[in-house]
Amino acid sequence: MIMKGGNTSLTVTQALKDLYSLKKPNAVLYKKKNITRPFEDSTSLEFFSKKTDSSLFLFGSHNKKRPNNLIFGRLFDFHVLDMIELGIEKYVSLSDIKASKCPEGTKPMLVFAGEAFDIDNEHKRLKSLLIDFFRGPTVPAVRLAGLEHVLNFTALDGKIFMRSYRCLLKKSGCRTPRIELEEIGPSFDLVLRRTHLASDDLYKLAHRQPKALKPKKKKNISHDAFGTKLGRVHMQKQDLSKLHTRKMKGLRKRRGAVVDGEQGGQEPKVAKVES
Amino acid sequence: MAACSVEELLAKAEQDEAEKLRSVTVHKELDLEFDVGNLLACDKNRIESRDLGGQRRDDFLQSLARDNTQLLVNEIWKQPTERVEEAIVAKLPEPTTPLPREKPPPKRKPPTKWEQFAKLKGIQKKKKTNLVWDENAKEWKRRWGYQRARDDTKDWLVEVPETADPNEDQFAKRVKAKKERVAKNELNRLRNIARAQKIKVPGVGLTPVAQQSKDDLSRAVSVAKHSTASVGMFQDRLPKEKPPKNTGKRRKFGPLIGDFSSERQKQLELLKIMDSKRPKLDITKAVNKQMREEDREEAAASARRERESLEESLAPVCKCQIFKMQRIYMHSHEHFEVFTTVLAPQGRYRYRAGAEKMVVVHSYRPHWPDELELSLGDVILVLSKHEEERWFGRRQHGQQGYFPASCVMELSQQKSLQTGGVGFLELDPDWRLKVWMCQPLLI
Repeated sequence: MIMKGGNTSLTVTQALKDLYSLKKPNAVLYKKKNITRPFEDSTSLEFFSKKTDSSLFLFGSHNKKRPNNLIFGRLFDFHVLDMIELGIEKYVSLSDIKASKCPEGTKPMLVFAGEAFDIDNEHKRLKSLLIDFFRGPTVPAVRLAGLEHVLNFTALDGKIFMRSYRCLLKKSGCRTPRIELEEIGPSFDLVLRRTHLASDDLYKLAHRQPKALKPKKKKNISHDAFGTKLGRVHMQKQDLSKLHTRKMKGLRKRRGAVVDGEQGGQEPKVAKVES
Repeated sequence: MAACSVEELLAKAEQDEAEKLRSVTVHKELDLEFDVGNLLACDKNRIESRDLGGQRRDDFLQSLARDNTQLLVNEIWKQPTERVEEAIVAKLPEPTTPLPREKPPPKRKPPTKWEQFAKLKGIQKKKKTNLVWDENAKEWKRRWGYQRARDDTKDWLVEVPETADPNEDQFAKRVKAKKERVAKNELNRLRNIARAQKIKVPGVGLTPVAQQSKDDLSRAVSVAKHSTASVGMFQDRLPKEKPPKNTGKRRKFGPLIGDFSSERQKQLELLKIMDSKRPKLDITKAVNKQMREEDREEAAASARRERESLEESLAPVCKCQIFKMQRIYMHSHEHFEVFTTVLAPQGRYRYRAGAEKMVVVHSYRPHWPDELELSLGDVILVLSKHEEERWFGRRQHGQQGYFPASCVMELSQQKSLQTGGVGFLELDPDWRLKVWMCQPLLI
């Protein structure tokens, strides 16, 4: 859900509108202003989230101290989990860039660049928050021709640059196409301000998956040290004397001569299956 | 001229080919991390800050983006594809980045009645085979359901058992039994649902049964009364209708022998309770027991007291109540102590004003059912003398009844026979009077 604070500037409203259009079917943009401060009091946020049953929010406001403020946040069980405040330094809106846009509701490809996203804790949380925000619904399969939208986030020196492109798949010699990018969409130059991150155990609690979602272990399959896949086959009791094996004429019992019996068949229990 | 142009053309074509092949590859110092399920690519390579300064910034960012996107697309194109309605669709794997959930995972359902029972009894879930060998049809058939293996309703020949009525239709009987089982199963299923959703359901007695006893009918009537009540007003009872009996919980009395497992269970539980460290304390029982003991002691003590008081005064002791706080139980760990107010001998030991103790001097056999049998030497506590000749009294055992006044004599009267000398009458535990005479003591 996207909402406005007590006072908003033109940039902030435009930015909120653009981001709303990016997330079109799965977002709700509130027109009225809510005079709350998320970092101090999050009850109204929780109330709204319960009403709309949404766990991600974007709050835009503007004061003298924090001009052009955007607060990205998410909730767990209708209580605030993380909140990160970003300030807009430079903003180019959707309407300013003249290019044909891609249709609404396409699942965008996300690209994160910069080592800060892996080193700094706050940036890590920001990265996971942005992924959550922009990734769209999880689908089992995607149409290859429909991969049009790309969102690019680059982090450097506490600043985050967000660009949005449309990718054109050009013919190349081989199966994979060559990508050409064309800038559409809003471009933000953001600076990281305050953060309100969840404690470690709350974060862990939020990640708990129910047992049913865990991938089921396949029985009777094991991997040994070399990486070969071994399987077990369980057989019923076999009468080894009645097994049909290859008959080696030379090994047959001769009249009078005592020769060792035929070789037994395969071992009943373990069969090696190389993969 | 043409030759060099052909060569040029060939060279150019080759160059183009090479370019095309190169165009899909991107060189990076560090490999990117991909999460194809989320269509995500993470680039960890260093970015020089001088690249991002000034106007060149956007171009640099675009080229960086293009490279990373190319790599991501290469990864996506590696996924297995299939054709779905004229579009080529790539199957995405599960997303690998761990993201927090929106809501906590749902709680487990409470175990059903069967699950609780199975856990209690230690019944394991055994997987049964789907098919069973049917001897008659000589093939593998289902264990239950349509065309099952042992379907007794489909037998073409049924032996009539010796104890059965020869005119009874055995086939119809089997079909009917099957129907009843189905109905019972359905009822149990619905009842389970009702229990799971906490909806009230009428009890056992109301299932349709062939022969309904008076009991069942009365229960049905009471349930109907409850269900037709509206705004707290119940239907009026019919003139001769009796109020329903046994509404509420009923105790179960099982057979004495036969169920060894349950008996064993009970015994083991008992041992467990005895074994456990916390003693089972039934406060009321303990209090009552202590009170009884106290009463007995009091009785003995008062008897002795009475003996002594006979010397001085004939007037019976007035009703007195001795209050004392007695510590009757202390827990082994001194966690709590139970005190009780112990009253002086009550009930049968209470001295009523005017009640006298008399001794029987003539045995008496009762003529009427409400009369008391008297034997020589008994001490009777006379409770009332409503009539001149017929008194009401109580014996030591608590037996009460009427008796003629001539059979008893006051103790004091006996005593007045003695002169001087100290003599005392001892009341031994049997309440029989023993007369001791002794010489006066010279002090």
